[in-house]
Amino acid sequence: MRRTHLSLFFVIVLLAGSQAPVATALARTCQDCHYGAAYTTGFAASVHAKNGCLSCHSDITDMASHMTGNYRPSPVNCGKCHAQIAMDYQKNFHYLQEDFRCVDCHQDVHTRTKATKDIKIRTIEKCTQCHGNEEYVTSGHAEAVLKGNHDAAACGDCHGLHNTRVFHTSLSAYPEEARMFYNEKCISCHDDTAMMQRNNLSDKVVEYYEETYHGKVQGVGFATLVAGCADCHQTHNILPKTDPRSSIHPDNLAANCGRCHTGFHRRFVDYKAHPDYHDRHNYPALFITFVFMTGLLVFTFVFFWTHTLLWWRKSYWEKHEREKEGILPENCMTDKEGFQHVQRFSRAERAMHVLLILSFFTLVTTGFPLKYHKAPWAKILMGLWGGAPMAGLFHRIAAVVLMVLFAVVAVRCLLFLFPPGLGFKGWTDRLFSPDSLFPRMKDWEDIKGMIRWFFNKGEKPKFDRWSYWEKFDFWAVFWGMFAIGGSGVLLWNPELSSYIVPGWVLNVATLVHSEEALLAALFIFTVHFFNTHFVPDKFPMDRLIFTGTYAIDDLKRDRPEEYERLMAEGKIEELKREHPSIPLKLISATIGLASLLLGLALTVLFIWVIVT
Amino acid sequence: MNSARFRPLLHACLLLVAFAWSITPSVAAAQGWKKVKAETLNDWLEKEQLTLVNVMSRIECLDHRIAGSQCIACEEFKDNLSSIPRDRKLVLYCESEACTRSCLAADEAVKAGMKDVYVLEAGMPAWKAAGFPLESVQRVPRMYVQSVKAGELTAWLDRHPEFVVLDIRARDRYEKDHLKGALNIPLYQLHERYHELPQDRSLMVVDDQGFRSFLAASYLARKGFRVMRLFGGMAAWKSYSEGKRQVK
Repeated sequence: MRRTHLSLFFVIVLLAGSQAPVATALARTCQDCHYGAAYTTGFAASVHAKNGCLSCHSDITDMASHMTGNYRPSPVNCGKCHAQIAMDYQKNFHYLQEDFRCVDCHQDVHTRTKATKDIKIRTIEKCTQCHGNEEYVTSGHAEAVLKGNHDAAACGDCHGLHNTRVFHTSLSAYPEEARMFYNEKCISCHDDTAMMQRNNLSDKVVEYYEETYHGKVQGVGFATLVAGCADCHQTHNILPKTDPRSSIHPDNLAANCGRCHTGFHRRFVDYKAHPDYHDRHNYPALFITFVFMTGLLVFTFVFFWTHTLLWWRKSYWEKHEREKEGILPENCMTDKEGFQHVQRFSRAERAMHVLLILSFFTLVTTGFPLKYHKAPWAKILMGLWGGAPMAGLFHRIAAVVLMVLFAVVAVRCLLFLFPPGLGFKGWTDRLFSPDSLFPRMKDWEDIKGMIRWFFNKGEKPKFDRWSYWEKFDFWAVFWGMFAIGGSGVLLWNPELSSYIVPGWVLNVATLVHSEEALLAALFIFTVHFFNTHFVPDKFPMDRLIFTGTYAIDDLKRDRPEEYERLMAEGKIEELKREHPSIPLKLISATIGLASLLLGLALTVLFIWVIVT
Repeated sequence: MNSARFRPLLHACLLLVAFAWSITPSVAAAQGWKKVKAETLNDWLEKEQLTLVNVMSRIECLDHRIAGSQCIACEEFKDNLSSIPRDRKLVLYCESEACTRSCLAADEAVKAGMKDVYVLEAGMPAWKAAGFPLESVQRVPRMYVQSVKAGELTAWLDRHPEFVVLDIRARDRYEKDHLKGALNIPLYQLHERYHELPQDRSLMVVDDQGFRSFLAASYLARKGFRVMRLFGGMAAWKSYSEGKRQVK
């Protein structure tokens, strides 16, 4: 009965075609030749049953030719009905590279019934007909899918169903895109708080990964240089770390890390790939470091930004009062002696400062795109350096320059304390002398004096050669060199470092390096810039560090005790120098203003990231 | 004085630059053929007669090709040059974005003195991605052919001694290096030589990069062979055996 109805149906469909060659074949139906169950009962029960043969096989216009075997129909264009899928499929790897057509996967197209099984399970069954991924089938994802978990990843969740991308294991043309694509696939689920909580998994692993060196380099667009998700967790056989088959099981970590790293000590694998700085139970060293570094940053900036603000207020108000009362600038009233320049910095010291500026900006502009890799400007800045590898090279070169400068300063300090000929004799006097950068009781008195002056409670203290904020700048660099330099050296070659320290110390080093960099950069670009250049008396810049000399009047005003001491000791004469030349002043202004503007621009970029 | 010392060096540099400049066009001319984009080729096909050659194997070419193409495998192109008319454009294409096979054939055409030789830029994938149709003259129905990954291949072959490796790469590549015990029938000869294969063995089909073995395996499966294939081809095997980090 059913067959009669079907035959009648096909005849009607064929009649609807109304082409002459088709009409000649009407004495027979498609089922007379295609009489298998797939084309009769199976088709009648399928989701496509309402379609006639020719609505899909529309290229059969000469039925006689087809029936005699002379015309073989082309692959069916399913896109006539499934337009969106067809559009997606046009970019599909299986189509572009291997010319798979719809029927090649959907070989049951004539008998396909409405889905009763979970779509994810059906997808796995379909894909594994060719891709026999035994490893996936035994993975945590597959296990969850087969238990009916709709959140767990099946083939299509990572590879797409009809829009499978042209990323292939052996296709080296798209390494960057492929990595980013698959990393994003992992992230899209594991960064979904609701989904992770539903499945009793941490929703922070992505955030923590992005704080590591791997995550930062990946985030700034150089995914092939570092470990992405699949490098450690593998692709299909993803299992929890408690499973001995898992790539991240403690017994397998050395081999797993060894796929990228070579020549490391076994404690290298103590490195934490997803560390949580806030978790004091599982990561106590990181937690303590995080608290210390945060405290250091907060304390330093609260003190110095308040100091800066109060200083600016006092100076600006004083200047305003002088202007209001018509008091002319002091140098308009000075005598010729007041214009006479004296040396403050030697040629070597000036050259060292220029080198310091260059290395510091190189370190900041190559390092901060990694620290703030998610910022829109990070990739641009990294691109200006020619990419992460080139930026890394310049970062290391600048670090070496800075370390050499540090060594030179250290030697100069030692020579100051223990000069040839004198040795240890009188070294404590030199240590606490006005020419020394070592803190002394006067500095504490000066701090108190400055605070009194800020609040109109006293006169501005009379400084000698080095003020307390200049000494802080100096010692901050010393501390910074140990913190940032030490951590940087450890991170330079982490495999080699594992012979000295366990892997988790590299996590600590990363945190210290990153936070200390922020402290140093923001301190220089705000506090140092204000104290030296933006204070109302010197705004917009003080070129002293570049020219090396300043007027005796400036010496008298800024460092009265030093002036009096030099006069009393009769040393002022030997310090007198020519007024700086125009070229030197122009070069000084160019380097100085460019540095100030760059520093301020970078400060805006950093604060933008911190605030947003 | 100093500038005079360096003058000969300067002259040498200028001469070197001039020489490099002068040979650049001749290097470009040596290529002798041009690339054509899919859209342009489509326009040409609508407006003029040209010779369009698919340089993949015959099995692949008859399976799917741009309508009106001739099937001349890259390896046989040189011997078939005489059959190609010289009074019209010659456009060659293959199935990879790198177009290596098309380029080799195009070089042969240029060497034979042919003008107006073109290679379809980014090959048939670009043609498909642009949405242009293909024709199937003798389509090989795709079979569900299972694959084995490079890392599992050795163990898998040990467990399945009935399998013999069939390397469908070009002879020279096979001779350079191949899997132990592998037979070699290049894909462009497979339709003529598949009967040489042992009927009592199953086949592990291996190609260059894993893109061509599926069709070859489907073809052999239709001929009655039990087939498997190496996922990612010899490229994946080399990458695995050399311990390189693979792109996932």
